[in-house]
Parts: sequence; structure tokens; C-alpha cells
Amino acid sequence: MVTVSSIKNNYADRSVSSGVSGNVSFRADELPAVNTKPKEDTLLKNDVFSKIRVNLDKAVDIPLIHIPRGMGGAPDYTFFEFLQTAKVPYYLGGPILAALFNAGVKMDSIKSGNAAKMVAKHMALGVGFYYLGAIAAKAVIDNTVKAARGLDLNHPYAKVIPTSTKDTGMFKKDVELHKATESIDFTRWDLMYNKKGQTPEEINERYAKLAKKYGLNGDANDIDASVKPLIKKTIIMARAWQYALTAFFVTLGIGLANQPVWEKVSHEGFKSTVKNGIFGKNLEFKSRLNAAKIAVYDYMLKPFGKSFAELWKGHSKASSIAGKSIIASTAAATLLAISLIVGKTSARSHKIENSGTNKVGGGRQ
Amino acid sequence: MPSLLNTIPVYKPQSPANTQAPSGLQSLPTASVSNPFPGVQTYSYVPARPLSPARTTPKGVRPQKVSGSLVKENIFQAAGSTVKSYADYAKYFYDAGFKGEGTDYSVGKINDLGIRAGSLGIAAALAASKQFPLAKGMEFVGLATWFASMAIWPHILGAPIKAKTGVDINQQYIDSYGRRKYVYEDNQYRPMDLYRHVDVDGTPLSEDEYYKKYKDDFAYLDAIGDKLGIPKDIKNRHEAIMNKMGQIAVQGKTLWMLTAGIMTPVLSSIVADAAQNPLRNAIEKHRFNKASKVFDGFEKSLDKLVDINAPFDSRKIQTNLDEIMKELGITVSEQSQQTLKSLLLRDCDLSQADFDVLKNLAEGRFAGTDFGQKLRAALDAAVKDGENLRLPKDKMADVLSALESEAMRNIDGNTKGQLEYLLNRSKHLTQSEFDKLQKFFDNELYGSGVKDVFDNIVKNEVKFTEPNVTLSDSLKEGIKKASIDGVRDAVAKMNKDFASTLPDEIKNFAGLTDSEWQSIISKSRNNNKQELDIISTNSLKNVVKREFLTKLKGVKNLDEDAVEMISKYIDSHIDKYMESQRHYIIPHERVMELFKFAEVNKSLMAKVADYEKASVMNIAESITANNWNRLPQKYLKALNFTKEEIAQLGALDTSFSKQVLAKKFEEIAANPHEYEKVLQQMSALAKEAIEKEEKAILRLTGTVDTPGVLSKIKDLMQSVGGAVFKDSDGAATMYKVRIFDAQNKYRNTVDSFVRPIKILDTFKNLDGYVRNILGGSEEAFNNLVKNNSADYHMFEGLKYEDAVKSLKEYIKDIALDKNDINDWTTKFEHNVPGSKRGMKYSLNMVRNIANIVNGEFGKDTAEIIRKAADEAFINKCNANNTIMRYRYLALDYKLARDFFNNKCYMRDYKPAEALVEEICNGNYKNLHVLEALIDERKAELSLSEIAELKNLRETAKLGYKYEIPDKEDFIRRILTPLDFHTSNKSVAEMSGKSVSEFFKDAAQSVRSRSKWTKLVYGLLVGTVAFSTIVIATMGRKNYFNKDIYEKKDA
Repeated sequence: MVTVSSIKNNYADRSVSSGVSGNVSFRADELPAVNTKPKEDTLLKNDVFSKIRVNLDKAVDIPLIHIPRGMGGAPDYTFFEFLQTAKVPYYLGGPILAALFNAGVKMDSIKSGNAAKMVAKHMALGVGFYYLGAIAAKAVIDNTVKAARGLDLNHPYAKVIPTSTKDTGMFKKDVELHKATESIDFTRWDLMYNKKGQTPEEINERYAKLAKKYGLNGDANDIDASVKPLIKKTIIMARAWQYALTAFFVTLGIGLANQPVWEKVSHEGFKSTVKNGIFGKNLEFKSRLNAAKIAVYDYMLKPFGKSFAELWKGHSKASSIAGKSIIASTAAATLLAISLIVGKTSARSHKIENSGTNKVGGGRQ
Repeated sequence: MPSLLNTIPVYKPQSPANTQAPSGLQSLPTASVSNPFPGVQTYSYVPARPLSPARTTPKGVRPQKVSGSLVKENIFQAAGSTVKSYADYAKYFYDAGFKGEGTDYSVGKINDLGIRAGSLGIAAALAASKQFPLAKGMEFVGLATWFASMAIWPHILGAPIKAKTGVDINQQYIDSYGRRKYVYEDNQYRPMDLYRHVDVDGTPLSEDEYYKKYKDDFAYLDAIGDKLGIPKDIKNRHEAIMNKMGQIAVQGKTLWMLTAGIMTPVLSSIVADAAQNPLRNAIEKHRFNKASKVFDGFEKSLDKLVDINAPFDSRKIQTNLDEIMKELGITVSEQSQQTLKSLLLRDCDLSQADFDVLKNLAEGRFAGTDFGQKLRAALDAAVKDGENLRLPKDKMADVLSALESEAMRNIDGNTKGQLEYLLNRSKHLTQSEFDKLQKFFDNELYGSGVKDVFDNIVKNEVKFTEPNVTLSDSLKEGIKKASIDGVRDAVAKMNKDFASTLPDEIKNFAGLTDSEWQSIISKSRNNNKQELDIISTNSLKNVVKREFLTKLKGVKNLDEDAVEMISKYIDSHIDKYMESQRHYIIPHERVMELFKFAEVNKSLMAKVADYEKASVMNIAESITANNWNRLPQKYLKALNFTKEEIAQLGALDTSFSKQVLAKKFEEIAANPHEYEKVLQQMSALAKEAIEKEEKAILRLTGTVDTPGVLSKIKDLMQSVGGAVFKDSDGAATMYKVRIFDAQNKYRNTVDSFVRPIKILDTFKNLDGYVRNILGGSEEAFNNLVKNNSADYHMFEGLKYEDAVKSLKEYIKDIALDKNDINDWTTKFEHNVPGSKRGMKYSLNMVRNIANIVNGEFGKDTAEIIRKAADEAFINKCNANNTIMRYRYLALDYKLARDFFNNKCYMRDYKPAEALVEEICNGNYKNLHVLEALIDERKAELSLSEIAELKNLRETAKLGYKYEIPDKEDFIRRILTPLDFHTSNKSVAEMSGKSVSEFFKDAAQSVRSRSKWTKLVYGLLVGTVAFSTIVIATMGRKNYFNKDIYEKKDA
């Protein structure tokens, strides 16, 4: 709930008596890189590398900062930190389950050992595909929203943490890496304004861009007010469907991992291809490339594609029905999600009153 | 002013003069706030003043009364509210996903729902890929235990924390909106007010109730503070307590997050593992009961059909297939029948003249009858094809079945013959049509086990697989044309100059004259039939060819080469033509009947298989499979194997495991107390397992008193086969094999489970056994070797002690090692250790050893077993052992001949003659032998024969002489099948698992299990230890919490 105070920091000391100021020349809004330590809450750069860096930083912080602070019961421990720590069981549980299963496998005799190894292999793959499925469900919606509405649901921002106690010392954290749209109730609208802008058009520039994507034609001065409800709606629908699609995609993932085609894919072969083919010593670049192609295509994509066919076909009546319904329902749910998000968030499906002038209280729908 | 500012969520005084506030706002408390900055009223924008929560109250505004309260419920209530809340979550999803409405709280809850739904989906997907109910069920058990562990672990962790500090890290509250939340969810938000009116035990009270009990607020908080050791005389003590609680909650929740990833799978794994056995037992019981119930109804109908309650010589077995199908509820799929019907028929081609004949009959003599109407419909549907008229086959099916009907039985032979001749042509299939028909049968009967029966009947009785050729004018014309074509082709191939010199008879070759055709007909072997079978066709073809050759030879001025060449062409044309004239005549009704018979058998086999799947089939989760899952490991336990021994047993090298086993058995045999204990445990286990399987098998195979389902089916189908198709053996053999299989299955199970017990007995009494064989002393031994060289030749030159030692080793080896018939053969040919010669010709020696390994229990052993099991169990084991011994030694005819020079080894392996003499003479002394033999061979007896034997036994019991009218017949019918010489080798080769293999497999299972146990319990213990240490230090002063308190002013 620091929204208000931070806005005060941004704007209160500046005179906003008129829209145009002669002193500060307007520059294109360049966002800071991830590693800059800002003094105030700041939207960060949003390219692929920045995002990887954000995720890396966040992952490193879990064992180095959040866990020590949590174990010590730091008074300024936040909900964000708790959520970060919650990733530990999420990513630990699956592999441990697979390991336990593997330990129960009868390996002594060659015959039964092989059969059991296959089951264990499906299990391990299943765990991996579970996480992939969850990632895929999220990505489908993220990309839909990005493509249709130009809204990046993962736009990172650096949240400055005023460490109130002086006792956090080496585990001090100055910045938490959040996402601007992570909260529905407390969306960081403020960060999405261009703070270097001088005119309302400049300040609203990001909102104007989004509004265009939403199909909203409004006064540039208050376009932000018009588009915000739509953005909020987008966030709600996207989040809901991400959770819902996860259910479908993880089921699909497990279904695919459970197909016999993976039994023919040799783990050793893949390892050797990577180790000796791609990263082997004294190899020409061309042959490395070829090995990489084999590793990706023959060991991953091809069996992955085949597993779809096998899941669809099934090996018994029940499994064929199950396979078909998993694939069909996942596809149907995905299409429904996309069509609902695209359809319902469009400005065309809303009645928008155009205020026309810079009237106070205008732009309300 | 840019409207941008309006959208920033700041506290902004409303000026009624400037803007009209929406009516909704007026009721809000902020609407009535007086402007705290009167001096800047003229500005349209006032910098926002930070709102700090609850520290300062804005003037004139009263905080809304809190209506939230702590939740106090036990774990079951909590589970209940969780389930209830899922309905809310579904609504949240609808609002958010379809309408785009929601809050952080409501959308966050969708995640919970999504995870549950996804996991359910996964479990369903995995279950669908499993073939057996337990495997399916375990997927859901795994899912349930996973979520249960996930839900229960924070409570397990929370309990000691609460006990130690008074802080419940899982404490929930209901907020003013009625939403359920965790008190410590967000460390930055401490809803202290919730603790204001709470009883010291954590029960939320109403204000009135509270003040009746307590004077000051926060009694609960104070109690927790006391427990936490927060000094009493400090400023803001409640806040200090809240902060300390926050510290503990953060610590507890971090610990939870660190351990949940390990404990969720570990607990889930342990619980699911524990659930597996009870679930397996429950499913096994349920499946078997269900299968038995289905079988009950089935058997009742079967009893009716085989007339089971009538005396054996006046029983009337139902042989009408339709009645049988009706009674047993068997149906043949409509689709298959239709397919078959359409495959059996083809369109009927008629010449105009034949067409007119039929038309006259349909409109004249048969007008108004069913047949007439059907025929007319077919004639009306006729299509012109060249000169012929074609009646479509679907109409022909009706016509033909009407022709076969009762009403058409009595018409005169001439008309009927004419009709059949004209109409039955639609039953003639070409080669490709016939191939399709065969393919249909192949597909329909594939894997049902019935194909052999079907083929057999086709071969012997319903012959329709032989091609025919119809002898008719058109055949004559065809042959004539073929010969002319042949001559023409031959001439065309010739040198033109030579061709022009050919005689006119060749140039204008006219084929056959009618008289020549008549002579061909009379010369060929056609038996005056119109339809020629393969032999007649070939005969006709040969006569025709010969006729043409003679004709060519008779042509003047035709040289020999030309004759040969022309005749070759004629032959090839005639061959081709005859080939094209081949067709298959299908006896519709018979084929349909046969198909029905096959389908009935198929369905019966499937019914039996359904029952077997739940009980005795070698398939996962059957009673047999479960027995094999459980018993071997229990034996290992009973035998007190150590971990190291189990590791050695489970090793890949069998020779090693045999040594370990031998050592163990010797140890136990040497210790009478231990021996008794182990033996009793094993007997009790074996008894339970065997009885379960026996119950299921007896249902199929039956006894003399209550014939089994398979025996009944066998009798029924034997009768049907005999009555309908003159083939009673085909189906009967099929079921006989099935009965044998079931019986062998049982024998082998008993053998495998009892053998370890018998081996213990052998080890215990080995000294005595060996002494018996080798004589009690050096002297006796030497005498035996000297006088009995045929049997004792392998011990020649050995000292007594060495002979004893080597024979013991030899017997141990046989007892423990593989026990299939081939191994026995080679074993006996092998040397006794230390001696150079095998024991191939030592009849008595082999017999003695076989008796030791596969004989009855020793007396003392039987005494011990009796205490744990019962007499019946001992008898069962002894009988089984004896039968297994027969299998090894006597059943294999070749073995008997090679080993024993065709001498009878034991009187009862060719028992028929001797026994029947006795029994016919009223001497029932050996009746039990007969009974045992009957039991073993009952698959080969019919229900009547079994009933007759039952009568015999009843008579014998009363002490009367059983009158056998025809002794020869009695022997032939009943006792001959009992002759063990008739046994097939495959029966003899089937035997249970060898002891060393048995224990090796068990050891491997135990080892893989112990690996799992180590990991699971290692993780469990490690995590619990870690948690204990962390919990012990929770709430202490530390780096982050300095615990500096300010003393309250005095």
C-alpha cells in the first residue's frame, strides 16, 4: 500500500500547474536496465534478456536473501518474499516424487528392471512435462494478450524497499522485482505513465499505445482513464485463464510423457549427442550444429510430435477416449480462452463515453 | 488541468462547488471530511497526504467497526470448509474468466481450483492408460494422498510450533467481506483487532461475552505473550507480542516452504504405499465376488441346458443353438450377421427365359404366398445386364430364406428342383468373393480360440471351401470357344507361309460337335452331377484335352510338331476357361449355423476368461497374481533372512543364491525349535493362499460331487457339436485343454508354495533318508554296492562317508534347483558328486530320490503342520506332491521308456486294468486311488461319466457291490482316459517355480523395496530432525529481531 506515498514522491514536489514546461525537454521514454538500483519504484526494460536477468536475480535471491530472512523471521519480510519461497516446494516436489518412485523400482533382474526403468522414465518425463505444461499455459495467455492488446503482463518493475529496521545487514534488500500488472486491486498504473513527459499526450503515451490496440479512440488527454478498466479486465481474465489452462496443459503434458514413443528415445544417446556431439573436443562447427539439430529434432521434437499421435490413438478403448478428450479439450479450452480474452477486452464490446474535453471527471464510462 | 491527475488514486478533497460528486460517493465517510487545508482551496489540485493506516484517525471520521473474526475449527471442520469453498471458487472463475470481474483474492483462489482440477485430470489420464483396477485406483490414491499430505503437513508442522510458542501459523480469519484468509499471510499486515475479543483458548467471543469474562482487551494476545516470555512491564506490549508472533509465523512458514517439497511426496508415498495392500485386498475380493455372482447366474442357466439334476443315463442336453443362446443370453452382433449374409450371397443372373419362368411362378402358382411376394419383389428389382437380368443379392436373401421356409416344404420335387436350380445360383461365389468370406471368418474368430473348432467342422462336415464347376450348355459352348481361340492363337504364332499350308479343318476349326461333347461327358467321372467338384472338374478337363488331341491327330496332312503346338494352345485356353468357371457353393443355412456355433463358443470362452481374469489367470491383479505378490516375501520373513542374505539371494548369479538358501535351510532344520516355528508360519501362509485359489479353480474344474462350469460347458458343446455338425470332439477338446490348464495352474501354485515347506522337511530328515538308501553302516553300504550294482553302480569305489556326503549334496541340489521335467532328466543322468558315473539305469535309486524330494511329509513334520494348518491341507499337499512326482517320472512316456526299459515303475501309473478288476469284484480298497486319478483327469470325462463314478463311490461307501453291466464298456469309457500313459508332454512340462528361483524373485522385490524404504524414511527422518531443530530455536532473539523493549513508565 505504498502507492500513494510513491506517487507523492514522484509528483508532489513538482509543479504541475500547467501542462507544458519549457525547461525539461521531452525525451523518448527509455526504461532503465535491470541491474540499476533505482531510488524509486521504476518500470524496467522489457526485452528478452532483461526478463531472463529478472528471473535469474529473483531465483538467486530465494536462497541468499528470502530464505535467511524468513528463517530469521525478519520483521519486514514481505508477502512477495513468501511467494518467492513457495517456489521451492513447487520445483522440489516433482523431482523428489520421481526419485522416490525410481527407488522403488526392481532393478535386479534385467528383464523386470528394464520394464520398471521405462515406467520410471515416463514418471521423470511426466514431472518435466508437468512444469512445461504449466509454463506453456502461462505463455499462451501472455502471448495472446501481448499480441492482441499490446499489454505485457510480465513487465517487470523494481520496487524500492525502504528497509526500516537497521538490523537486516547483509540480508538487506533494497529492491524487489515485481510485475507491474501482478495485482488486480493495486495495479501499478502510476508506473505506466511516462514521467519525463511534459504534455498529457506525452505522459499518456504508453496508455495511448495500449488504447489503440484495444480499439479505443479517445481524447489523448484522458485516454488513460478510458483504457484502465479494460486493462484491469484483461488482467483478471488472463490470470483466471492461465490458472484454468494450467489444469489442461499439465494433464496434456503427463498424457504425452506417458506415451510409448519415449521408451525408444535413449537417454544415453541424447546425453552422448550433447556431450560428444555438441560440446565434444576438436569438432568442426558444422558437425556441432548437426549434432545440435539431432539433439533437438530426433531426441525431442520428433518423439514429442509422435507422442501426440500416440496419445490420440491410445492403446485401448479407454485410453483412446481419454487421449482424444485430453487433446480436444485442451485445444477447445485454449481457443475459448483466447476468444474470450480477445473478444471481451476489446473496446468495441464496451460502451465508452467520449468526454471530448478535458473536463474533470471525464473519461468515466 | 490535465485529467491525468484525476486518475491517480490520491486522497483528494471534493469541492461541491466545482464538481458534482456522484451520488454513490456521498455515503462514504470521506465525503464528509472537512478540508484540512483551507488555505489552498482555490487550487484545483492538492498534493495528496499520505494515508497511514489506523495510527491517526482523520477528524470527524470514525473507523468502521471491524466485523472480522478468527476462525477456530478442528482439522475435519477445516477440510469441510475447504470443500465448501470450491463452489465459491468455481463462481470466481466464471466471473473472472467469462466476465472479467474479480479481485486479487478471488482470482488467486482460482489457482487452487485449477491445481485440483489439473491433478484430477492427470490421475484420470494415467488411470485410463492402466489396464487393471488396482493400478487405476492407485492413480487416484496417489492424487488423494498427495493433496492430503500437502494440506496436512503445515498442520503437522504447526502443532509443535503452537505447543511451544502459542502461535498457530495456520490461523485463519474471516474478514469483513466474509472471505477466509490466513492471519499471517502477509507479514506486513497484522490484523491485531482480530485478537481483541478472543478467549484465552483462541475462541472468538462476542463483545458482551468477552467483557463478562475479562476486563481488558487482548486476553488471548496476553496469554500468548506470556508463553513467548515477552516482559510484562514494557510499552506497547500488544504490539511487541504481535511482532514476535509475526517473527514466528515468518519462521514457521519459511520452514514449511523448505520442507513441503520433500514432505509432500514422502508422506504421500508412505500413505499410498500403506493404502496399496488394503486396496488390493478389497479390489481382489470385490472383483472375485462380482465375477462369481455373474458366474452364478450363468451356471444356473447352464445347469438347465445340461439337465444336471436328472440321473446320468436319462439326461437331455439341449442341442438347439437358438435355445442355448436364449438361455445363456448370448447374442451374435447384428452387424456381423448382416456382413456375413451379404458376403454369402451374390446377385443372381438369369436369362430372359429363366426370368420368365420365375415370373410365371411368382404371379401364378405362388401368387399371394410369402415366397411369391418375395420373389416378385426380387424380379421387380431386376436390372438388365447385357442379355441377362440381374436380381440384386439383398432381395435374393429374402427369396432364399422364404424358399427354405416351412410353407415351401411340401411343394412337388420338380418345381422345387427347378426353383433351387435357378435361384441357388446366387449362392455361387467367385474366388475373390470367397476370399472375402474367409477373411471375414478369420477376423471374426481371431484370437478367440474357436478357429480350430470352426476349421475342423468345415473340413469334415460343412464343406464349402472346395471350388465347383457347373456342367451345362454354356460350359460346352465355353470349351468350344476356348478350343477355337486356342487354334487361332496357335496359327497366328506360326510362320505365315507354313500357316497357309495348313489343312482346312484347322484353318476353319469348329471345336466340338454335340456328339463329341456327349462322349466326353460319358467318359469323365461326373457321377451324373451338375456341380462338379475338384476331382470331377479335373477329370472332365483331362478328357476334354485328350479328346482334342485325338481330334487333331486325326487331321490329315498335319505334322506332329503342329499337332503338339496347337494342342498346347488349346490346353492352355481350356485351363484358363475352366479356372474362370470355378465357383464356390455355399450352403447358407449350414454356414450361418456354424457361424452361430462358433460365436456361442467364443462367447462362452470369453465368459470363462472374465471369471479367470479376476481369479486364476496369469494376469496382473488376479488372485493368483496377488498371491504371488504377497506370499514369497512373507516366506522370506518367516525364514528370518538377514539383509545381507537377501542381498546375496537377489544377486544375478543363481549359483550363489542356491548356496545361501541351502545354508539357511540347514540351519533351520538343525534347530528343532526354530524349525517348528518357521514351519508353522509357512504352513499357515500357504494354506491361506492355496485355499483362495482352490476355491476359484474348483468352480471351473469341479469335483466328482459338483461338476465345474467348464465341465458343463464342455458337455453342452460336445453335444451340440455332435448333434448339429457330427463333430463332438472339436469343441470338447478346446474345453478339455482349458480345464487342464486351470488344473495345472492350481497344481503349480500348490507346488510352488508347498515346495519350500517340503524342502525344509527333506533337509530335516535327510540323514535318515540317505541312511535308508545307503544302508546304515559302512558294511551295509558295501554290500549294497556289491550286490546291487544296477542301482548302486555310481557309488562304486566311494567310501561310505563320501557316498553319504555326495548323495546328500545331490539331493539338496535337486531339491533347490530348477524343477522342470528337462532338468530332472538331465539331473538323473548326472553324476553323484565324487562319482564318475551317472544314474541313468538305476531305477530304484531314482525312485527313492524322487520320493524324498516329492514324497509325503515326514511324520514329525506333518505333526507340526497339523498344528498350524489342518489335516486337509496336509493331504492336499501330499496329493499334489505325489502328482507332481508322477509328472516328473511317469507321465512322460519317453522318459519312462528310456529310464526304466518300459517296466512299470509304480503300479498306479497304469492303473486301469488292476483297479477295474478290483472294483468290479466289489473290492473297494483302492477306491481312493481311483478317486485321486479321476480328480486329476476329470477334464477328459463327461458329466455322465463323472456322475457314474459318483454312483460307484456312493455304492462303495454303503458296502454294496456296484453292478457294472458291461465291464469292457466301463473300462473303455471311464478308465481308459485315466491311463497316465496318454498324458501329453506339455502337461508334464508345466510345473511350479523352483525353490531357488522362488526365493530369488522374492529377495529382489524385498531389496527394491528396502531401497525405497531407505530413501523415504531417510528423507522423513532428516526433514523431521531439521524441523525439530528449527522449531526449537523459533522466536528467539536473533540477527533480525533484537528484542529491545522500552520499560513502561512507572
